[in-house]
Amino acid sequence: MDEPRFFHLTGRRAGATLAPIADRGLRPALFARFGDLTRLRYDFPLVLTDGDPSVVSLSGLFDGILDAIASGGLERDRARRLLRRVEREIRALLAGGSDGTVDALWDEAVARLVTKDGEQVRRDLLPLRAALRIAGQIVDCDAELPARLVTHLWHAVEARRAEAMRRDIDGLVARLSQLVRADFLRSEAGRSAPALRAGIGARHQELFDFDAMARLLAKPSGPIGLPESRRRRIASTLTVLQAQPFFGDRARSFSFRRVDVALAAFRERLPLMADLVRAISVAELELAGAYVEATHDPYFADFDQTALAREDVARFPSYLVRADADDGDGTTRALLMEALTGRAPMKILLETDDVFGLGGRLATTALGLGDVFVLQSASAGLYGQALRVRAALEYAGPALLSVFPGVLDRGRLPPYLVAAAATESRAFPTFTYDPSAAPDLAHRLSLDGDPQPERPWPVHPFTYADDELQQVGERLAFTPVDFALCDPALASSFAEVPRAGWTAELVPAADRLDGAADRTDTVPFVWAIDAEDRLRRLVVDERLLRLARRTADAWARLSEITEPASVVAATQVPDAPAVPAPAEDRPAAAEAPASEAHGSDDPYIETPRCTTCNECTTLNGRMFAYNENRQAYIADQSAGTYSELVEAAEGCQVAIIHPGKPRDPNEPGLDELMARAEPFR
Amino acid sequence: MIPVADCLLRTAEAHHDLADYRSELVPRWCNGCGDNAILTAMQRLCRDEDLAPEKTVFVSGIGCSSRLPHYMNTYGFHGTHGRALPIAEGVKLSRPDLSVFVSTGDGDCLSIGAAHWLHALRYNVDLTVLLHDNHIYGLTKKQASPTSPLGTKSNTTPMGSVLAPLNPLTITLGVQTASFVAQAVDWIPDLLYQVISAAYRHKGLSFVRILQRCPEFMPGLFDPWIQDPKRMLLLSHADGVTVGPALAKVYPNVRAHDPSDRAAARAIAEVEDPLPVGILYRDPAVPRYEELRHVGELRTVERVRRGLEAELDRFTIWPEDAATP
Ligand SMILES: Cc1ncc(C[n+]2csc(CCOP(=O)(O)OP(=O)(O)O)c2C)c(N)n1
Ligand code: SF4
Ligand code: SF4
Ligand SMILES: [Mg+2]
Repeated sequence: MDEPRFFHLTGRRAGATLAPIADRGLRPALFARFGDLTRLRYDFPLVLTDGDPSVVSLSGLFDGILDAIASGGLERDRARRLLRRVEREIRALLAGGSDGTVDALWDEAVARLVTKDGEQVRRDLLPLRAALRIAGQIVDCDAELPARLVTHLWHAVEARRAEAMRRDIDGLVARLSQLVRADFLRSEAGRSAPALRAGIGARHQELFDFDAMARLLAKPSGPIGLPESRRRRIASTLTVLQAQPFFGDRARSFSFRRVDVALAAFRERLPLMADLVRAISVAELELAGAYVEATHDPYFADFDQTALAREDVARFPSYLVRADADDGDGTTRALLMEALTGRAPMKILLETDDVFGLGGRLATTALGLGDVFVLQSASAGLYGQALRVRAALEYAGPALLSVFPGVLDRGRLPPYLVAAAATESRAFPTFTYDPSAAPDLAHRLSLDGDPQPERPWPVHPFTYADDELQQVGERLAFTPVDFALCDPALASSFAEVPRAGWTAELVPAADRLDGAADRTDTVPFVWAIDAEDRLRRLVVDERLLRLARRTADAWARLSEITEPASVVAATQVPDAPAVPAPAEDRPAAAEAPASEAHGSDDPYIETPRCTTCNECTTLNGRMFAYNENRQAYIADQSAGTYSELVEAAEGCQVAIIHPGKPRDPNEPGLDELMARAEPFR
Repeated sequence: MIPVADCLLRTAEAHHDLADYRSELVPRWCNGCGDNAILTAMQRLCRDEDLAPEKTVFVSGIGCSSRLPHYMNTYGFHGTHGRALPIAEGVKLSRPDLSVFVSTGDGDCLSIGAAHWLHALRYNVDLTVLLHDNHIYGLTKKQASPTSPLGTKSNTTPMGSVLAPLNPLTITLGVQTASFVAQAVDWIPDLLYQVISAAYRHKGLSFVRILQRCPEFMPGLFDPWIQDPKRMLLLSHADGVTVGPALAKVYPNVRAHDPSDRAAARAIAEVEDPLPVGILYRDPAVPRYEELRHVGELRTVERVRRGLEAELDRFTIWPEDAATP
């Protein structure tokens, strides 16, 4: 068996032909374009601001400055070049380990430019500096980025939540206090001379006779003084509202480094949450005048943490936990289930370096939990996912943010590049699962942020110069195996084949992964480059190929879920909104013309047209009465005479009283009355 | 609001009868006065919308019509002449949770209160305003009002009035931010009810002019329209009030009018015969003052005190040699 094949099957080098790759600085061939990141413009670094949006990219910020100064032509071109130089210096400073605010790093960058080019640069940059309106901390894509970004967004979300809740609570306190105050003002003490004196500024107190004033003040009407039980209830409600430990200056901490500690804190605070929810409910009822002791006393007596609904809990702060998926003893993984399936709004930032192992699979596993918001992203993609991170933090239930920080090989490859490679290769694809987005799985899951999502992995054009320095073009796939080259822990799964051994037996690893190449007589390889950007071929052992295949399968499953979505979207165009039902007429009974319901001999009133003018009811309040709408009808014909009916008909300005025929043939003056009734038939 | 509280409050909601909104006072209006019909329509509305009496306020100025708050078993504010609107705006701004209604007469609103009328339209605070327009000062026993017909003989115009009446509808529609303009008559109670319930539901200031009979001082004024229903023009639209078959049988003159059409509304507002009733104009998108003003922070005693102290501190001068307190 030849050496490459032996290595592939066993992971061991049998002869001297193959070279180990550890510590040789070999990189995936497609990295050739990204030699010096400080010279490129991309999402990072970021600026964490106190405003809205709470995070912007440095490039975006500088483009904003350019737009703000808004002059055109040469002027603008010069400004752009200057800004690019500052931007590059800031990137270089960050790469060198600097840290700080936009303002500070700008000044540092300018100082460096001044040492290179002289003072003029500083003067030229002054107007641009003046247009820099956004302040905030600059953060680069490093090991701390996921935690800093997520914590920053979490603070922004929680500040808004707390603000809304504080406003509500303060409003309740103010209005309840007014109730107590009003009660005092009506009381004997409130109307007494000392109380009146206290209500007037000290300077004018001598001008008034407060005793006389107190004597003058009449006793207010109605019962004086709140009932004792109500006064006590309001007082204790006020105490709870004012002492609550969840929002405002006295708020406790809600940020944790361990899942179990966060869970314990949540459990311990549940009774306090129940107290506050009860106090708010009682306050609302009190202020609406709707507190009924017979009903509400027993209800609130039994009110404890078990009565809290998820929506109630959602108005409280969420718990941010930064946990390490790869902690030695596996505590985090063991507790994750409990944290994500309980009532607590746990927002768990889970960082993992173990993309091919358990850590890399936790997010897809959490998809099965149903109502957990799940977001997976390598750190390089977090800026693009910032809105979704925010949504996860705002979500009313638990959320899992699984992040690959990209710090595998300190010093050699920038974390940004490694993290981006994890996404690009599908080893750590970006996805979000938002249970509140849609009722069906396909629409809850989004693969936005993954390049070329229709393929098993992205394919890129790749050009290089051959031995005769002729340019050769090829299309290279970027698979999980290529990504594995970034991880020193997996170096032993690669071995370099010297130029002489590049036989037809070697096939791209991608062809083996997707089954295009036969596994019996081929050996998979990937392209790598060395420090001088020279191309190398590395053969890959079967163990790594297996790991890569597993992550490729996971991607395939994810895209299977979302794919039907596009089909559904295309076929199930929602129906045009139904034509609104015509507004209902007033109840038919109330509107039916009265004449049809009566024989023309009986007297009647077209009741729905009655204007409540009191004419007829004043004339004879037993014969004419008002119905539940205060409109007149003939309540008792026998309670009056035909003469009164005719008089009422004549007096009714809207002429809706119809006297009909006389009941008593002996009533005097009938002939004349019937003639007068004629117009009202 | 915390969901638990919301749920409890909903269970605590009571249902009301019309009688729950009638105060102990018996209206002191003359028999046959159109104010009675307006009062009944208001009480029906309160009942049908299940308005909590303690969360409902009727504000008025001075006049026969302005007595209406006394007859409602709700909160009320019988204000000063012409000032119903600013009082109501104040109530609504400090207590946006209350339903606020205004009853004002043609003298109260269009004469002494005319400035407040225009500015209330401009502010567009969420109020339901009923203009009881009897074309006369009733309470003070017959003086010509701004809507009195030309030639009205009254205590102040013994030889007959010489000024042409003004048209409250065209003026209201002339204010760009008027958001709801309607006309009703007290003698078609069903239509009156529908118009004021649409007015109540409108978010913003709804201005409803109600032609109101004063048999005491303007007897027979509206008889031509009362006695000849064909001289009434009922505006009907799915987005306004709809005229049902029974109503159309009595008042056959029905015209479709889209209340979002301001030009058409202005044209209709000019017509006096046939007399148009219904919703002339409605634009729910006009911003309300309470939205624009955006008082995020609660106006507590402490906040007012802090603000005042800060303001006064700006004018405090300390003699140079005095120790700062
Ligand atoms: C400042 C002031 N000026 C004048 C009056 C006298 N006054 C009382 S009611 C009224 C007119 C009422 O007319 P209107 O508003 O049309 O009400 P109506 O009585 O017709 O319903 C007047 C001038 C007053 N009360 N206060
Ligand atoms: S007189 Fe006519 S309008 Fe007046 S209450 Fe009687 S029926 Fe109604
Ligand atoms: S005077 Fe006129 S407006 Fe006043 S109560 Fe009498 S009828 Fe009504
Ligand atoms: Mg009047």
